[in-house]
Amino acid sequence: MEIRPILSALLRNRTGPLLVALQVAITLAVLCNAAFIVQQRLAKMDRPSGYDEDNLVTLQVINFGRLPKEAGLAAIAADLGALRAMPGVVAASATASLPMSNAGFGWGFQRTADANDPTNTSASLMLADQYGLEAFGLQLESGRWFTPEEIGTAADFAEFGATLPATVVISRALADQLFPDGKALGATVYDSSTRAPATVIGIVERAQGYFVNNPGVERSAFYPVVIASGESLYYVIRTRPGERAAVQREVESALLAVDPRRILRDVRSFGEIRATAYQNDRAMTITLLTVIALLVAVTVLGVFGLMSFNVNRRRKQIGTRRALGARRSDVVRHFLLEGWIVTTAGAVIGVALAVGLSVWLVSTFDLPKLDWRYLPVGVLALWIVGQLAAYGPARRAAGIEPATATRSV
Amino acid sequence: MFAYHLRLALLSLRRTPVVSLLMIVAVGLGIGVCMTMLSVYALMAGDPIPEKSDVLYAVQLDNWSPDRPFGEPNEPPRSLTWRDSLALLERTPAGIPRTVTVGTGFVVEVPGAQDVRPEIVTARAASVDFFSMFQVPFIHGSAWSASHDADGAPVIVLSRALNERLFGGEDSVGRELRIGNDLLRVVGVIDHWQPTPRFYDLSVGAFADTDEAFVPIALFDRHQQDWGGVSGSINCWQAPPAEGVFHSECVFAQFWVELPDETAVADYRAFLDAYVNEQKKLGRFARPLNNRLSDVNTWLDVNEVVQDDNSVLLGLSFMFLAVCLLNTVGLLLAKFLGRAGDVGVRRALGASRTRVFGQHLVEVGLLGALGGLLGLALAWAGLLGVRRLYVDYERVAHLNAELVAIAVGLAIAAGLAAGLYPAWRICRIQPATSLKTQ
Repeated sequence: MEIRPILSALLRNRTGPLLVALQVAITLAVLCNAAFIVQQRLAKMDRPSGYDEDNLVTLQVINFGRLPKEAGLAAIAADLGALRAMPGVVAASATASLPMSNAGFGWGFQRTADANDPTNTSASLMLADQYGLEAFGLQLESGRWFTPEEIGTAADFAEFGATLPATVVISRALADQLFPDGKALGATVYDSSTRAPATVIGIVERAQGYFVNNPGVERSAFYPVVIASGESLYYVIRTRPGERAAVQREVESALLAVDPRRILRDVRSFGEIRATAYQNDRAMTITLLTVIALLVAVTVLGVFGLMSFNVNRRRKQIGTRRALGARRSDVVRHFLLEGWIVTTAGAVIGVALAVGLSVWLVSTFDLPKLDWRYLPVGVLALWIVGQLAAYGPARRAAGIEPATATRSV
Repeated sequence: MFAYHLRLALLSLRRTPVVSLLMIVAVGLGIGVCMTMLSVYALMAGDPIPEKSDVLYAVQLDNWSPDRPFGEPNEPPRSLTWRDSLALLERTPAGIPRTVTVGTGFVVEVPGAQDVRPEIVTARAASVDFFSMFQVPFIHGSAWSASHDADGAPVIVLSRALNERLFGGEDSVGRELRIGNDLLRVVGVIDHWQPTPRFYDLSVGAFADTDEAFVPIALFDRHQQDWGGVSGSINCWQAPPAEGVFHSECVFAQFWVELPDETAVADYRAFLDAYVNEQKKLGRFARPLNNRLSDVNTWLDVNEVVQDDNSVLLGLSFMFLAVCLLNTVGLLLAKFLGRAGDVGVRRALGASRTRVFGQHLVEVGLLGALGGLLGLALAWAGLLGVRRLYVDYERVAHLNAELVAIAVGLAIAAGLAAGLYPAWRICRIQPATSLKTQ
């Protein structure tokens, strides 16, 4: 329809439309890149961990001073017995560190005992007892978990490091990395520093390691060891569905009843561990969504303000057009089209700006390159909100009486 | 004249309340979002010890695996082995302040106190220069004497907060504390001290609380088995021997020296190279010489204290401010030009262009100031939100006087940037034309 008169009207008063087009452009650039980052963070936070997160309670035990080996093992056994006796508890296990907690052992494994074996792969190393599989709620994919006889004991970490166990359970991701041929089960892997061998007796479907921001988080391994010293002692307790909160409340008194002379720390659900692990991603997501929402709101106001101003200034011309036979719908269409042209002009600049912003983010911060599909979606979104913003003023313009043309303002 | 212009401006704001409010909100939002991000960024990127940040140096030695570097492309580890730390502590030439420090933790009890529960404290083993080098303020007593670094006397320095919990805040110098089976004598209590970022040991988080207690390095060394051990990251490229990490190639200790000028830095570099070369003869340090000395701000960069997320958010928030300002320019232009008739009359009655320009600038300045106030309130709320989102940012996410000043400056600059063009446009109006169209 009448694009020419609209264009000439816009070009007569360039500054206003230009300002709004620039707003749309910057908004599009920020919108696309921010939405892309948000989507990536959401996908990252959405990864399953492999643990029965909803039903886990964890805590740390700190003894007053170090326990001798036999006393330490006895104390752990007594604690686990007390935990298992609690109503609602399915399994309880002792370990030296918690997955996704941002602290723990990074360990190297390789396929041969060679010093420079290129298969050397880093993994999160966790220590577990015979209850570990059930207590963490892991899914065993093939092979088996440790038998009670296989569980080694060490007085402390130094002794553990000197006498590594002969069996290991690894995650599917570590198995795939070490054995691309798929023959991990039953194979021998070597600790890459002491070159001590261990047989892979089981593979768990998934068990995320300590550092969720590390690309290798899916690679993990379990050694069958309990450390007696209490240097770093955590209990993992799995409850029946729906009873986690109750167990979490009671667990401290149950353990202090066994031995009050120690400190129990960080009694947490796995949900809390997850929230802490992904705190930065969650914060980034919320902040970016807030910025996007405010940005779109400000831009909508910009389009709305421009269109209202134009309508007000052209009351007489609109009246004249109506008097010459233009229908109300023609007037509405005129202003919607005008809004659309401004938005589109902005979107064209915006696409270039979005790509530029993405290039900057990629080169400066090593972020992944913007997925191009965000551009058309972003343009579409701005078209829609732009039209919604223009609709109000356009309706008001349509309400102008033809008689206005004859009245002087 | 300014008062008159201010009255006109107020009148004008009241005549178009909706548009005025929109402009104030737009400026306020822009400033608020920007200030929130800027506050977090500024404090993260801030200098934790401005008086001395260029004379304090963190030491890195490359004792890593011959097969691969600690970090690509050829980064040495960010902490030292225990044995190298002790060796450097002893051999650093006299006159150069030096300190080795490592995080730990233990349970402390007040002997004989029934009403004070034993508690676990985050503590720090350090050598005595730690306190003077890092300007740690004392309220009671002082640091231990230099000889205690080596003899391992059972002494302890408490933080103000811990002293309040254990001893009700009184001067506890001379009192005793029990850790495991040992009794330690309090020799000093430090005042509140929180360098942000916590540069002296970044291994457990750059914005962690400062430690609650300090013990001499030799005392900690003697109790490596029965106290809490090392808290913080221990990195190993080979499994530690049966004697434990303190006798291994595992790194976990921080080492700092104070060097007054370039010559001293060069001399100390030579000293470090000599030390490593000597160790090479003993079969250690298989990698090529790769020792580093980083002053405080370089050290913060090396450790990537400012996270990429924060830089991205800062960049995006400035783009957001730009959109808000463009919006305000548009609204101002519309508003001013809608008033062309009035201005025409004023001009025809003899007001000069400068006058008209000034009048509108005052109006714009008023909008900017109001927007800035709103922005400050929003930034305050935004930082409240940031503190809820990031547990560790408790200390980072605060407004201080400097930031408030920046906010006000930013608001005025933003207001002027947005207002200059519309004000200039309106004062260029020909009185005759705008009167004629009436």
